[in-house]
This record gives sequence, C-alpha cells and structure tokens, in this order.
Amino acid sequence: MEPINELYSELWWSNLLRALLLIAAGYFAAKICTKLTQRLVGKRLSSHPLGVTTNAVFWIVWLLFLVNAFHQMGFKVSVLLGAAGILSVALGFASQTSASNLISGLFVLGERSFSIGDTIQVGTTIGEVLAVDLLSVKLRTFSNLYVRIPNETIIKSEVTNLTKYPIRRFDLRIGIAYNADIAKTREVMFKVANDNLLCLEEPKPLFIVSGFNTSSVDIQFSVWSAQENFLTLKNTMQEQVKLALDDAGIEIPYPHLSLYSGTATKPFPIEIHNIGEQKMTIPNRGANRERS
Amino acid sequence: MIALNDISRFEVQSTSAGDGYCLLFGQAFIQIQRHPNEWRAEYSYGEPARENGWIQFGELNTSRLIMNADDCTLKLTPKLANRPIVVRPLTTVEIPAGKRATLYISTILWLEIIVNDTPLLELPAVRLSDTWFGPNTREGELCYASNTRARLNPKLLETAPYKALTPVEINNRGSKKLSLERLKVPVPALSLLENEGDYWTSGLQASIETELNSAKIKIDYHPPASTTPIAAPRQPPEKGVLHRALNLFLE
Repeated sequence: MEPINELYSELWWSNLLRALLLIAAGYFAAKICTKLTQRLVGKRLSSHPLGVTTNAVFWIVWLLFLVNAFHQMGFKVSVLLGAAGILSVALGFASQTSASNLISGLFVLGERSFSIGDTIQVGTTIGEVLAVDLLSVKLRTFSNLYVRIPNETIIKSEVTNLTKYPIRRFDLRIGIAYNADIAKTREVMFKVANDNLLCLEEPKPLFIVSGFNTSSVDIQFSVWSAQENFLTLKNTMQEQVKLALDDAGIEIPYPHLSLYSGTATKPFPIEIHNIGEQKMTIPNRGANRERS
Repeated sequence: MIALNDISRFEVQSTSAGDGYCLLFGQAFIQIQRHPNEWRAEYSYGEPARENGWIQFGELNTSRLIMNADDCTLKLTPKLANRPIVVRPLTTVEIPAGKRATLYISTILWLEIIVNDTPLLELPAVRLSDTWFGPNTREGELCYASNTRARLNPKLLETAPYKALTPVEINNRGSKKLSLERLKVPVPALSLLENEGDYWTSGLQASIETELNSAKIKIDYHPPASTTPIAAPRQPPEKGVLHRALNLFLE
C-alpha cells in the first residue's frame, strides 16, 4: 500500500496536470505534424496513401507524448513498454490473419497496381474499386454487389486492372465454314471495323486465322477502342460482323458431324418417326449423309 | 433554312414559340425549334448526297434546353474539334534534307448552338473515327482520324463552309529525308479565323533537327491582318501540353 500512498502524495496533482498538458500539447503537435506532412507529400501521393501516411504520423507523434505523460504520472515506461511488447506478441499470435492483411495492405498501397475508381478482376470477381483499406479492398460489381476482398488474397492472387491504360483491345473470335473465302471474310471484317467510329484506326485491327476446328476455320479479329467505349464497341462489332457476314453469304457454322458408312457398304437408311401415328422413310440417295 | 456562308455571324431574335430553323452542316442535318419554355435541337447524320440529290439520314437525336419564355436569341458559332486530329496523307509526303515545305491541311469544324449565351448543343460537321497517337499503347492521346491530300497550294484544296485550313510549315533541318505518314494537328490549341469567307486556323511551324521525335512545333499566334478571329483556342497551350505535342507531332 505504501507506493500507492506515495502516488497520492502532494506531487500527484502537479504530475497529473503536467501529464494532461502533455496529452493536450501532444494532440495539437500531432495535428500540426499531420498538416505539415500533408503539405510536404500531398502533391506526390494520391488521396488514399496520403490518408494512411497522415494517420500514421498523427498516432506516432501523439503516442510519444502519451508515453511521456505516463512517465510524468510515475509509471515506469520500460515496464509499460515491456508489458506492451508481451501483449503485442500475444496479440500477434491471436491476430495473425489481421496482421497479414495489414502488412499486405501496405504492399497493395505501395505497389499502386490499382486505385479508387479502377475496374479490377480478382479471381472471378470483376468490379469497381470503392476503397483500398489497410485490411481489405472493397469492390462494387457490375450487378451492384458490395464485395470485400482481404488484402492477403489480393497479394496472393492474380489481379487484372481493366482500366489501367486509356485504350483496350477487343478480341472477336468467330468461326467460318470451310467452304468460305478467307480473303473475302478479311475484307468484310475490315470494312466493318472501318465503318465503326468507335473502332480506333490506330492501332490497326488484326486479322488472324487462329486454327482449323472440327466444324469451322477459326478467326480472331482484334480491334481497339477507347477504354470508356469498350463495351459499346464489343456489342456493336459482334452485331455488325454477324450482319455483314450474313450479307456476304459467309456461313458461321454450327457443329457438324459427318457419318460415313464406308465404300464397301450400302448407305444408311433413314427413317423419321412422328410421335404416335405416321412413319416416313427417306430413300437412300448417296453414299454419304450429313447430320447435324 | 440557315445559309452556311453566314454561319459565323448568324444571330436571330425569335419572335414567338414555334419558330424553327434548319441547317445542313457537312453531313449533319440540324433543326432547331423554340417551344414555350424550352429550345429543342434535333440532329442526324447522313451519307453523302446521292446522284438524284436525295440524302438518307439516320435516326434523329434530340437535345432539349429549358429556358425562360423570353429567351429568344439564337446564335451559331463554328469551332475547331475538341480533340487533336491525326491526318494521314493519301500518299506519303517526303521532304528532302535541308528543305522546307508548307502543307495545307483541312480539318472538320464543329458547330455550337447557343441560346441567350447558354450552349444548347455542339456537334461536328462529319463524325470522325477515333484513333490513338503515341509511341505505344500505354502513352499517347486519343484523337480523331482523318485523311488529307496535304496540298502545297491552298487554292487546290476543296473549300467547304464546314472545314478549316491549317498551314503547316515543316523545316527538315536534319541530314536525312523526312517521310511524313501521319501528322497530328493539335486543333484544340489553335484559333479559328475567317478570311474572305474561308475558315483558317493559326499556323503551325515544325522544325526537325535530327530525329522525328525531337521535332519542335510552334504555333503562330500572329494571324494575318486580313483575317477575322472567330473562336479562341479551346485549350490555351500550357508549357507541358505543348512540349508533349512536340514529341508526338510526327511519326
């Protein structure tokens, strides 16, 4: 009881006053330091990292004054710090996930792979970035859902920023029939791109015969647009290409399956049965029949 | 029907609701009508006229501006495009080392419709396709694309009341032949001028020392005395903006 009695001695009130003054002065000093930080690095940092930096400055400065205030009140700072150390280790073990997210958050902020307002894809989720916080990134999906992604996930997984650059390429993949003229198809598609005002003239559209599939010759036609016109271009190009190919008589085939009965055998007889009543037989006309 | 030759001076006081005006400006068909408490502009774009003189227009777009019942002054102002225009000469132009040439490039005008000093609508005479001008797909600028004959004599150019001529003086001070495939005309930084019924812009002077990407461009801010200023530059050129334009001027 003796130390407590000493604590309540005549010095107590003056120490308390000093401590309160230190806390108040610390608060104002921290505010001034925050303002100074804002002035010094405000132009170099975007709004979010700036907020994190100023918060950190405020708490560090004020914490120093708080520790000093405790010292004034007679607490042994070394003991307090030791206790804080043990507590932080215990807390660290208990909050591994949060700490991991916190550290990942610093890396996410430092990397600047995306910022507020960008549209990103994480895994299968695509959305507009609402906030980049220390623990998580908040997204708004195009179906207006609010998605919170922990920073640890962001650091560990592949993140695609869809709005990083001002222009974007749309790859239109289409198959044409084997009997279609590839040169004519190229001409038709370039004309569609040329007539579409949203399709950029430079970089030039790209026409690639990407492979020979089971039922079609596969074509990739890549066109560029401004970031903000991407969805409109995607919609209009697909519609216009379909119409233009139809007009030019170029078939977009559906899967075909050819059945051969072989040269040594007779062709397959085909019978079509209606439900219940009628029965119709189609006579054999050729060796090979195509069925789809 | 508003006559195109008077477009830069067109100002009319409408007397009553129901008054209507229409205009064919390039490929744009515009009709403007005064309603009791609003002004309404409808516009559409058509293909070039057919042999029989008929022009087919697309769907009409409408723009409405709510105004007071006594707001009756209608004014038209031609303007230069709101983005730089990248022109591609129909045939590549080559300028030998140590030579200088002045090319005349015509670019499409925009029209601003103003009711009592309030803009109602702004639209181009011809809708131009977008294009990208820059060293790669990450850095550069979104522009409009156009073709040019890049005439050396302005009299040979087809003048139209919805086009403006820009004189571009290119001075090849390097030791190699200069091949000009694309040219960015920074029209938002140029003034629009009128001379004897034709529209002109401030001139451009490009000087190439060694390489194309070190081209220096200068805007001529002192138009000839015979010209009348019609519209000020949309973007007064700032230090940085002009510098960026210099490096990307020729490709």
